[in-house]
Amino acid sequence: MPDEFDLQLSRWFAQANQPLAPADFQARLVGGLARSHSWMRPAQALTAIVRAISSGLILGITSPFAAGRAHLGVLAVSGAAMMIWMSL
Amino acid sequence: MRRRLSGAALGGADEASIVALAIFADDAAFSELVRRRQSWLRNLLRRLCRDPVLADDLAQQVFLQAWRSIGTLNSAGAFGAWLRRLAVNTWLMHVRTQSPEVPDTSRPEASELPSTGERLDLDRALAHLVPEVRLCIVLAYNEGMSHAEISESTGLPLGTVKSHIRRGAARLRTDLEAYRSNEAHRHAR
Repeated sequence: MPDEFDLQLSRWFAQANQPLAPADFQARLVGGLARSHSWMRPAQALTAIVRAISSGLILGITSPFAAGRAHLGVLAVSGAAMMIWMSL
Repeated sequence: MRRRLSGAALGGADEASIVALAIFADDAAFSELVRRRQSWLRNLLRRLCRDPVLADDLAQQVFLQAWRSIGTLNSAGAFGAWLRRLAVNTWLMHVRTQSPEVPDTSRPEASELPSTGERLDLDRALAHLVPEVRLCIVLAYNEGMSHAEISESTGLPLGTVKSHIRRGAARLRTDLEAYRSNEAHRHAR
C-alpha cells in the first residue's frame, strides 16, 4: 500500500522553501572554520607528538618479546652494541 | 602538492566529484558544497525549529561538523542523506538540551495567525506539533521520504511513523485551513 500523502500540504511545504542567499551564511561559516582551525591546530600537533612518542615506546618495549627464537642472537648482539655505545 | 580545481571548474562539476575532493580536505570543494546545499539545509532546519536565526545557527554547526567528519563518509553519493542525518541529529540534540519543549497544543488564536498579506506561515503551524511528530512530517513532506525511510532513519517503529504523519498532517491541515478561512473573512469585511 503506498504511503498516504496530502497534496495540499506538499504544496504548502514547496511554497515555504524559498531559495536563501549564500553570501552572509557562507562568510560566517568561513569565520567559524578559521576559528575552529586556530583552536584545533595546536591540539592536533600535541596529539600527534604524544601518539608518536607512545607508539615508539610501545614498539621498542614489545618488539623484543615479539621476535622469535631465531632472532635471539641478533637481539643479544644489538643489545650489547647499544650498551657499549651508551657507555662511551 | 595536490592540484586544486578552480572555482569555475568546481561550479560545473557534479556533486559526487566535489564530495570526493572534500573528503581529502579540499576546502574549495567543501565551500562549493556549502554554496550548493546551504539553502536546502537552512530551509529544512527552519521547518524543524521555526526560528530562522536558530535554524541558521544549527546549520552552521552542521556544516562545521560535516567539515570535521567528512573523511568518515564512505560513499560520495550518500552526501545528501549524510548531511540530512547530521542536521536531524543536531536539531534533536538541541531539542534535548532545551527545557522539555512543550508544544503549544492549543488552537492558534486569530490574533496569532499571520496578518493579511503575510505568506502562509507553515513554520508557525509546525511549531504546534510535538518534536517527534514534526520531524516525521518534515521528513515526509519537505524531504519526500517514504514512511519506511523515515522509520529507518529515525529509529521509530513504522506504525508510529505512519500514525505521527496521519495525525500531524490532519492537525496542520486544520490549522492552515483555519488561517485561510480567517484570511478570507478579513477580505470579505
